[in-house]
Amino acid sequence: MDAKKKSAIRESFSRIQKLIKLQFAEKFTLFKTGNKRSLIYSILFKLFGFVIGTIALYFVLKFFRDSAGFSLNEGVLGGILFLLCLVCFLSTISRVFKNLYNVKDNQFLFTLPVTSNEVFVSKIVITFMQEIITAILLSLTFQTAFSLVAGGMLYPVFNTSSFSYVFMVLFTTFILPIMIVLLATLISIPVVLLIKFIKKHTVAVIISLIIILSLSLLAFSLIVNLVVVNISLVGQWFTLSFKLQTAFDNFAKNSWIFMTLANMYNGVGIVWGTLVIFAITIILFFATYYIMKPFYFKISVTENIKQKNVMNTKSSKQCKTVFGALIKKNIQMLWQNPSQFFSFFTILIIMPFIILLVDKFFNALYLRDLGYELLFGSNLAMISIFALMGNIYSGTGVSQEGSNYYLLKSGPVSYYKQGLSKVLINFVISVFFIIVSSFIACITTKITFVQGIIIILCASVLSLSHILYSYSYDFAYPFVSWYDSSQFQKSKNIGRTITIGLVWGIIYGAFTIKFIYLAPPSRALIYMIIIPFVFLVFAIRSFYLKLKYHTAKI
Amino acid sequence: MWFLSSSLIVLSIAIICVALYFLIRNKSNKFKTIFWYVLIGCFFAIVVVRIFKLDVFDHIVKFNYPQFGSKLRVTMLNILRGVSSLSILLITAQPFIKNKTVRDIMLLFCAPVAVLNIIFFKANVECITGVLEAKPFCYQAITLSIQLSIELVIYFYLIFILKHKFNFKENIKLFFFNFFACLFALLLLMMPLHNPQQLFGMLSDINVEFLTFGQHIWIAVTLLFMLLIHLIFRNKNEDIRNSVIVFLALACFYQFNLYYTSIEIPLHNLPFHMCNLATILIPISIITKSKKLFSFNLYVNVVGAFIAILLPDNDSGLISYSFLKFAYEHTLVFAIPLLAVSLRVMPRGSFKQLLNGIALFTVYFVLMIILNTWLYNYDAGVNFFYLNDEFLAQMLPIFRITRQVTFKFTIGSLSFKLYPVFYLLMYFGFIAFMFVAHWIYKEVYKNMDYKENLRKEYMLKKLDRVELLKALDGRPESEPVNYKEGYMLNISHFSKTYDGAKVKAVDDFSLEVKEGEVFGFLGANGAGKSTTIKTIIGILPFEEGKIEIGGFDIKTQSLEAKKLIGYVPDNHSVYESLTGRQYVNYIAELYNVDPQEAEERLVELAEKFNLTKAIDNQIKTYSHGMKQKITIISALIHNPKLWILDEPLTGLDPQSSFEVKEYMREHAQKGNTVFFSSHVIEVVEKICDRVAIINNGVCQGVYDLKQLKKENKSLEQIFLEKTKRK
Repeated sequence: MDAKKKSAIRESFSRIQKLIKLQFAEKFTLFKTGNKRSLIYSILFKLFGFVIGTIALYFVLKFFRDSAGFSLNEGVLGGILFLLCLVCFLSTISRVFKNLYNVKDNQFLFTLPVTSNEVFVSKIVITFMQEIITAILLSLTFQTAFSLVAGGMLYPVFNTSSFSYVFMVLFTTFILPIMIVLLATLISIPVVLLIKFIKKHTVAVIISLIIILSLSLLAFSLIVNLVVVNISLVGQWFTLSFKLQTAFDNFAKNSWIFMTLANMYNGVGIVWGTLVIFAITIILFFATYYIMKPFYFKISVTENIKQKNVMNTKSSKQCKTVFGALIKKNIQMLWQNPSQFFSFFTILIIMPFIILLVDKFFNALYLRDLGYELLFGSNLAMISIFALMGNIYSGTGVSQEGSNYYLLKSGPVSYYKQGLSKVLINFVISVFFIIVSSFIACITTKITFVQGIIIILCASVLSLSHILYSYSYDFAYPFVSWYDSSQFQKSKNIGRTITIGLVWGIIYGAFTIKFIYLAPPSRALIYMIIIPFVFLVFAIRSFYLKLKYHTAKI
Repeated sequence: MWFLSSSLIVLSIAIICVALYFLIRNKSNKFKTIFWYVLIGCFFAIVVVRIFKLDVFDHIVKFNYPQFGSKLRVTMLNILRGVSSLSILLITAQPFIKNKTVRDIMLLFCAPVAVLNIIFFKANVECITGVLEAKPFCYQAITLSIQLSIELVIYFYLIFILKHKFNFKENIKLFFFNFFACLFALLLLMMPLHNPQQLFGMLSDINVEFLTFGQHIWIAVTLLFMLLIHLIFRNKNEDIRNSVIVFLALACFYQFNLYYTSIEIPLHNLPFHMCNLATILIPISIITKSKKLFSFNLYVNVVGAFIAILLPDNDSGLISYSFLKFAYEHTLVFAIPLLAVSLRVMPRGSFKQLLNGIALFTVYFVLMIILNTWLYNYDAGVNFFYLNDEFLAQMLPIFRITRQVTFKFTIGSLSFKLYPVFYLLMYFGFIAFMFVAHWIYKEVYKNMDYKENLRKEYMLKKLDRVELLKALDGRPESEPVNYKEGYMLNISHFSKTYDGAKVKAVDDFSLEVKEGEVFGFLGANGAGKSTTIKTIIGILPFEEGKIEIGGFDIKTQSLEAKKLIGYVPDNHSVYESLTGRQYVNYIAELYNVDPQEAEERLVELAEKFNLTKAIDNQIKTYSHGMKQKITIISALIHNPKLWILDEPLTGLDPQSSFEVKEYMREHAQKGNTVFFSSHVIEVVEKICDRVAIINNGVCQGVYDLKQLKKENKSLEQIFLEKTKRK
């Protein structure tokens, strides 16, 4: 290679390095806190999460091994590696879409003195770094737990202190994700082109939606029908365990790739195997690079051009009241931006499906009397948990306004009306899905109509409390940016709303089940109904106080 | 002989009192105070000696032992016993509190009780020794008589030497209210713990195990107790808050330790359990205000007590002596450090204190391992911090598993058995709990600070409202508070500092803008233009100054003021999911514009700004300039009296810029006011009547452009001069 070419390559690498540094600083905020203590806390918290995850998985695997004689052999390892790879692959696909195509920084990066290929390579590296974090959370946690249960002197299948085992753990956590990222990138090309084609033609959009919906419903009904009748968990435990073991063994027979990978943990073919994987990865890299070369720039640039969408809005009537105007505006925004609607209410939308699946399972169980009582409590707990987790709309009620936040403060409307308009919409949608879920619970199981009404009442009141509390918290601590209305998607209030909803839901669910189990039915019922109203009182007070006295500053 | 011993006591008291009176009455106040502390010290010393001598009062008398007399006699002795405990508490608390009501109680209530104790001296000694017809000069009688003597001398000293004055002359109702309220609370605090069982039985059908109804009651009482103390005393002065915590801490000490030695102390009864030790450490840390020791209380004792409340090691009835002693101790150990922080007597927990707590806990933990393994050779019941027995193993299976790993060794005739994995789990588990506690404290402190800020805001708003009503002077609130004929915007002495900033963003800014004028607001980048504008329209709060729009104060009459404003922001933000028409209609609805009028104005403005074709497209398809235009249209839809624009011409094409400038003049000619900010001097010169220049948050001057033209002065020159970088 002549000197000029060498120098060009060297410069190209240097540019790629700089692009990576630029994007790394933007996407990885762990080291940005500027505060040593926050950084330590953040790292400790992540480590703590890793430890807790490992411990939890350890006990799950140990339970399977000890209670049902489940054998944690190469077949199981291979099968679970396959599942992990599948999960990582699916998450990588969405990440690839987000990082490569649907990202605003493309508009900026392409104006820099770099080639589009260099931008592409830097994005692949960044995606790979993000994938490492996922791999550590999932793969390393599982493999650590697996090695504690299945390895060492206690269990002779794996010698987890051997070089090959440790090497393979690190290899699958840190090197295998490269292959996954490259595969996902390759697959994304035809998918993106297909989506672009579909978007241009309305008929294609409609047909695609019908196909996706039908496939989802079909898959769901298949899963539901898999639940057999008369499950006796205790009686059929060993049968279930045997079936699972057989499934893993069959997988082991039919999946040469993952079995080879699992055998490498025991040192079998580790050298050749590693070399082959490296070779495949390198080939994949060059294949992706050269296939992507003619496409990437065109695809990523045209993603940012919005399609025009003419609407017939001349006939829309004006509202007589300000509150009505606020409701109308919020509904219009949800209706005319379906992706936002789904992102706000996904958890509520999937709630009835989950309830159907779980109740089908419960229905198939052989229950004794207490089991029937707990069925009511369990449904109440589940519906409450989902209803509470699904209040992202109110939990980002102010943050989602983004740079339009000024209207909230400069408009001649009281904060209460503005808040209540968001609260009402969230509440109505929540109640709708609560009713649907309760109805499903009633027809799928032996829950009575009265019990169904109690579920609707308790879950709705609890949901309303959480909605009021979440909105008032977001009002007090909004995540708004004066110049960028999309920043709210990074708002910590989203995670906070879901987490607090989950915690409230679990606490209420635990109390419900405890009361049913330990207290007389009448007292249990009183407690179950009183607790949501107590929450409601506190939530109303929080809402009133925060909106009256807490004027957020931007 | 008993009469002789009682008489001797009285005589000795009289002699000491007279001697004191003549020796000390003329000494300095400092000397008197020091001697006072010495007396209290002697009293405390004799109480401590009595604690560690055999005192079977509660062991025998609490069960209404018939040989000690009728129920009435035993009840009276119990009451005397309880009030005597109260005296001990009040006297030993004297060096640490300065509360007159407590001294009133000592003199008016405890002093007569001390006299009664002398009268019933024989009965007292019988109860203390557990022996009928005890010897009058036995050890217990001598120590009791010394205690009673010192007690009465203290009361004498208080009245005649320190010259305590009763407050009832000032306000007799208040005096008696404080007196009886305090007395009732203190009696409840120092009530003999066996009394409820004596009166009501054990209520053993309501036991207090994990997740039972009895435990719910206990937890509810604990929380209620803490809440009441916090609510009642949080706004009292420092002395009272300090007194409350000192009393609680000393009561905790006495209630645990006074009943401690009713029989001989076996090794396993030594006060080395965490909460037992806490009853001694908490008073020390509260009295000495030791932060390091308090960190142990706050992080270790509170967590330990919480776990004990959650997993009680007691299966007696709800008001049995055994349970009440357990509950009292653990409730106070849990509550006192938290109340000390909430009442601002001790500092809040911090990360440094957490680390201190961990260090001290490590020392304690290692000591307990050593003590448990060593003393186990002498007493198989030794189980400090539950390191030695199966209580925790029965509660949680993981402990059972870890206790299977043991390590044994012998030194001489002593054998030592260790549970290393169990110890590690306990240690790190407890530390994890401490971190959780620290996190909970931080959240609670945030909440407390937030409530305090709310309270301050409430007070400020109340004051503002009072001022508003005063200024309105009987007029309705919908009328302007200070309407000045011909003026639309009035800013006086407005200043604004952002949170955390050292420098003011705007400093003492005053301005008056007339009706019907186009007013320009010039300044360099970061001069304070947007800050001023955002404050005028009510986005940003401010503390100093006044802003009135059409006579309405933006703070106290914000809704009325905002109805007069139309605002065009510099960020051109709009709801992108809506169409242009939907957005403008929404704004029109917010300002209650008549639908017909709104439609007409929309058509007119859309035509004027060349948006007619795009008005029914979603705003997300608009270019930057089109978004700016739709913002301008929405700000004009309600025909505002004050039209405020922040850099309005940015991003507009020349035609649209011209249209906007023309419309600004038109709008002003209708009698409305246009207030716009810019850093483009040429535009301002062309269309404005007057201009204000701002630099570094300070108004550099207000200039009439016609006047400047007459005087042949250039606005650009003036601007450059005023905004010159120093």
